[in-house]
Amino acid sequence: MILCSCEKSTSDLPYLSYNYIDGKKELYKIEAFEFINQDGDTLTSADTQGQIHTMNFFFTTCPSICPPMRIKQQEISEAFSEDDDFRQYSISIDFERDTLEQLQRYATLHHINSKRWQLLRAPSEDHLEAIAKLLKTNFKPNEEGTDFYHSSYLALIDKDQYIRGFYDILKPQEVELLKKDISNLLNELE
Amino acid sequence: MRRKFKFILFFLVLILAGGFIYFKSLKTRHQELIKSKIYYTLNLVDSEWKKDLSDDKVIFTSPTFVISNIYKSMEGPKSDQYVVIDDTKEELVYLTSFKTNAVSADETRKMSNDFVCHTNFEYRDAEHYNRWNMTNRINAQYPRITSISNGVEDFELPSGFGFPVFTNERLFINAQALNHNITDSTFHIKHKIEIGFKTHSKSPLIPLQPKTVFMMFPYDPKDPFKGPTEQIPNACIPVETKNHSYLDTEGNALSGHWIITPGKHSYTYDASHQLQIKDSIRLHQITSHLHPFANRFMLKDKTTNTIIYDCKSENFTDKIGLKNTPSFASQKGIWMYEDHVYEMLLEVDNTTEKDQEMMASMAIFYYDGEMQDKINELQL
Repeated sequence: MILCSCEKSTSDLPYLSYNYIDGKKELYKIEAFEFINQDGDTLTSADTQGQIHTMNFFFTTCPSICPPMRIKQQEISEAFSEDDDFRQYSISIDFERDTLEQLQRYATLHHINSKRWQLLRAPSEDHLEAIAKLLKTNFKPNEEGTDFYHSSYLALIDKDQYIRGFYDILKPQEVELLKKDISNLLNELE
Repeated sequence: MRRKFKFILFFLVLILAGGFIYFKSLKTRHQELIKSKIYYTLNLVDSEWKKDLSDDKVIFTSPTFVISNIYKSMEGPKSDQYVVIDDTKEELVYLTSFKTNAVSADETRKMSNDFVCHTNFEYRDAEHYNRWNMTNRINAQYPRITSISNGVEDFELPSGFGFPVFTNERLFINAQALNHNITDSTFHIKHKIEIGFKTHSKSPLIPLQPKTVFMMFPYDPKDPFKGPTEQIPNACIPVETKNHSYLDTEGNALSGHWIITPGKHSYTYDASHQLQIKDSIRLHQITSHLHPFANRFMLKDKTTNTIIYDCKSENFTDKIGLKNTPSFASQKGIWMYEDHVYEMLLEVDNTTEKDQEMMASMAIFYYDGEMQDKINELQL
């Protein structure tokens, strides 16, 4: 059992995409981005408006946390496969090696349902850094320059493009919490 | 028809017997998970957490735990829960005290805290630090706020200090029951878990940062239950819980739970690496988490040869259990430095004739200057 009987849902989720400007809290949206997905289509923030979606970082040659993260994301993808208003977006932090062909191979190899879950490629390092800042996460090459560090967290974003939660997807109880929160935000749409 | 009925009956008996044999082959902790699942699914006992919020404290009451066996540490019925103090508003508060009491399932009577193994309080680091744009702290350490455990019924942070959270911030509680002694009765209990807090708007406090440091010792993963030996004097026999096995930077296996044989033993552990002090910190509070048969637990500045914290824990003499494990609290604080060596020392006396399980950790709180700056910048 994970969630409290006393815990309410939907609008009770806090708004977490904000900064303090001169000491005052200012909300911001996850918008003004542009990526290419594994099918070669352009994805902009206009496409995510009205969707409940998750965003996270990965790269296709990641040997450590990405494979177990992918398994958990598959679980989420299958749990919400019937929900047209839910999407997952995984952004590669290795845009040089993760070409469209590589993303396509990765999606095929791991049976990723591209209608629900898109693998995204940024056009430049600046685009990556901008989205990392919006998602309040970071990434960096390791010391040898052969690999990257990135976190195992997913951001849950609502229909109005505000972050409503961060989830460490490597922890089973956090995956259950994420599913519950996705359901609650989807229910809000109805 | 009669023959078919006999066959079905035989088949059912076979399944039940197989299930019973499988169940009995499981370790106590796994048996309890199955039993709890059955109790909660069939609605035989209360399976829900409850919350009771007032101006300066919030009480979370656990589901019912059925105590029907001897449970050592980590073996008893347990429940995990995400909680919020008040999701109707977003107000900065400081957590200032922590308390757990065992109560009867109908919540009318206080029960012995011998039935409390631990209550672990955790923050969710991405949510917690992203609220303050302190992204660099995420994944830097295990996000434990503190623990209440057998022998530590409650504690308060020093007056004027607290751990800052927002009222609508999700926290995580893990509660587990214990029973070292009673075998002739079954008890239905709950844990009442109380967190005291003060609101920033009424009384701004000085923020503290938590960290848990714990003793762990090397063992041979190929032959984990043999030893210790003279060749590896620090080696331990680990308790078989996968959650308490670690690898150091050189790949050596270490265990945070280990077996103590009958008699007196002492252990030392260099905690400097776990403390990860950058420049210096000002320590304000320590709460120990020990197991029965621990007599004394110290934190020592080996560089200056001074003892920072000397916890003389008191064991019951007529039963197994810790009666009292004193905490350390100081408003003035004690400075600790990056270039000093800090050692944990543990003395135990297993007065039984059987092997027992041991662990030793310190949940510490130290001044959080960076958080203080962040709070000062706010216009709440």
